Amino acid sequence: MRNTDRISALVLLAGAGFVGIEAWRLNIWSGPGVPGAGFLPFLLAIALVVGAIGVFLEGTLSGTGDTKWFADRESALRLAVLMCCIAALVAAIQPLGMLMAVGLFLLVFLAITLRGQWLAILFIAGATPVCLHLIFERWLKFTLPRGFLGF
Amino acid sequence: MDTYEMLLRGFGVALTPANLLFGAIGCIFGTFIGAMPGIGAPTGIAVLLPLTFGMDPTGGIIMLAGIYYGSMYGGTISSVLVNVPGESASVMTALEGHRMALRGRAGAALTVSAAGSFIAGTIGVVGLMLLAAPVAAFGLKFGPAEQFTLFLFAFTSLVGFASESRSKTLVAIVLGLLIATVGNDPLSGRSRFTFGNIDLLGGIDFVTVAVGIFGIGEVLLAFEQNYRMEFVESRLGLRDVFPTAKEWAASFWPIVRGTVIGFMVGILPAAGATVAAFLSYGVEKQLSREPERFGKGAIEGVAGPEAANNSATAGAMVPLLTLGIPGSASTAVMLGAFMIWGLRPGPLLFSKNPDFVWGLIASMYVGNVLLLILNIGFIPAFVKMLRVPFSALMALVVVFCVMGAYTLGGSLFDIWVMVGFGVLGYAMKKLDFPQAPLVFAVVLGPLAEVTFRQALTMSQGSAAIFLASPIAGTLVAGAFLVLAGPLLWGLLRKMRASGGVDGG
Repeated sequence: MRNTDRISALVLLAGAGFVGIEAWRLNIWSGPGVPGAGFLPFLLAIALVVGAIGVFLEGTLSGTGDTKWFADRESALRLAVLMCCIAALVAAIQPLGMLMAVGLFLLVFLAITLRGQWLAILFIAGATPVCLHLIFERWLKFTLPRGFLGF
Repeated sequence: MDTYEMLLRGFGVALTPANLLFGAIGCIFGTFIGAMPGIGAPTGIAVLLPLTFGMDPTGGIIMLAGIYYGSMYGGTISSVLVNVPGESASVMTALEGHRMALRGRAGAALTVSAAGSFIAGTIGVVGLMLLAAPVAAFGLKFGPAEQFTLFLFAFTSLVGFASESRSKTLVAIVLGLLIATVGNDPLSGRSRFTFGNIDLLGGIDFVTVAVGIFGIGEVLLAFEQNYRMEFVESRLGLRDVFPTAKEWAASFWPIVRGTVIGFMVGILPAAGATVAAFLSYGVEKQLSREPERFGKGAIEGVAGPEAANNSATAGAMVPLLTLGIPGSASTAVMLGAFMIWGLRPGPLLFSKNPDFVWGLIASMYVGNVLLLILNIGFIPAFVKMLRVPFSALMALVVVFCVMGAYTLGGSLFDIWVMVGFGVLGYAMKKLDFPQAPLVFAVVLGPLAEVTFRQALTMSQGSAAIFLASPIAGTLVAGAFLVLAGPLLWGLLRKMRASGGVDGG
């Protein structure tokens, strides 16, 4: 029995219920013989119920138990650091500008993961924003968000 | 103009200095990412896709195609030297090739693989060239009902041929189709699943989904699993890489068989290079006079699957270019790119954009030659490149994902959505839900819905329209067969097995 599958199936069933209600609200038919905006979502809600029941049965009838599906403590910590750095990068784009935010992200993230290799860290954190500026702003003519420092 | 003249015209496009450069960049980048564990061709294509937005579409598709087949070559390097397949299609190569490397035959394994990939890739492109025009001409007969049944066939193939759980594949497709319905309804204009957020009115772009799932999702997984590359010490100079006459002889027929298997499997929606490689390995083991050598470093187990996975990339281009149906996750991302460039893959692409199509086909010939040279002469250089700290590479992938999501619409909201899909992609991997069918469905969803509703409106709501024409009827029957076939076959085998037990 695999509990991860059974829990996933229950979440999917709840999702299917929500989609079904939304589809109904959107009108399944917009006129006689004319499918409305909710037509496909309604069919998809039914298909999701079928899929979720299949996942639930597979999880219930499975001969194997739950494998260790989530990371151990060390891996979870690594993952949390990466997630926090990504979230900080995205949040920093508006106040600092894209290039500055990217440079800082690389500096902080690589300082944590490549401990002590300062030359490599500074090179990557410094050269990447320059390359991005050349590729996106100069070559492809995209305007990247600028921060309070003006770049 | 006949095929030969069109191909010559294609070479005229592919051999311009700019397109040669884009092809070379694609091949080198593809080889590199193919060799990196955790980053496959779909990730590479999705991450670099935004770079092509400002380019000429022909140069863009030549670069993306170079990444696609370059990654198949590159997957061999880490499979043989590190025993970590860079691509899922190289799992079999790792099984046999790494054993060869431990015996000091790494150079031979890499060369046979590169030669097999070159032969298969080139023959595959010939197949693509010969099949594409007739299939495209046939595709012109498709109306909304035929088009929708073709999509239905593609989706049911994903479920029917799923190597993972069929229920989970179905769920992934449904989730993808639901994501595709977010935003304004294309026919009535009503907003769906937007929760009052104006950023969602235009829908969720497939690039945001693909970059999140294949880019951020894979980075999260790779970082959690802390991939490390430990190379087998091998002599890889030019003198050391040539196989013996006996090894060449043993590889010849596996390469031929792998080429045929790969191309046929590649054409099928959803099957792709991985299935082709597994199938080829199985066939070689079955046909071998010494099957016990397999798993211990049999060169046939390298030659066949490598030929098959390269030939499959050319095969996957047939339905993509002629019918607008992707044959693999990578071609699904490429299909989305076509749409962003304002091109509609399908039968009309050959008549409306001949330079684009034939330039791409010709570039695949050129790319295969380039990759053969790269993969025989420059393996030591790639090995040095692979020694780049993994976390630095992952950080750069994150940066490119963020840039990609932003350049799409210039919105920070898109970046958050992309990160959200990255977390979803990671969760899907952890829970064994396949990611590729979701991206397939996001790409094909809008067109599938429009054709579905157009057909039903034409028939005043009667589903009989999907059985009314021979093409649509055949596709519906095919969809039923690929869905029910494996179930019936399994049931039959169980009944036979229980009959045998009873009888025994």
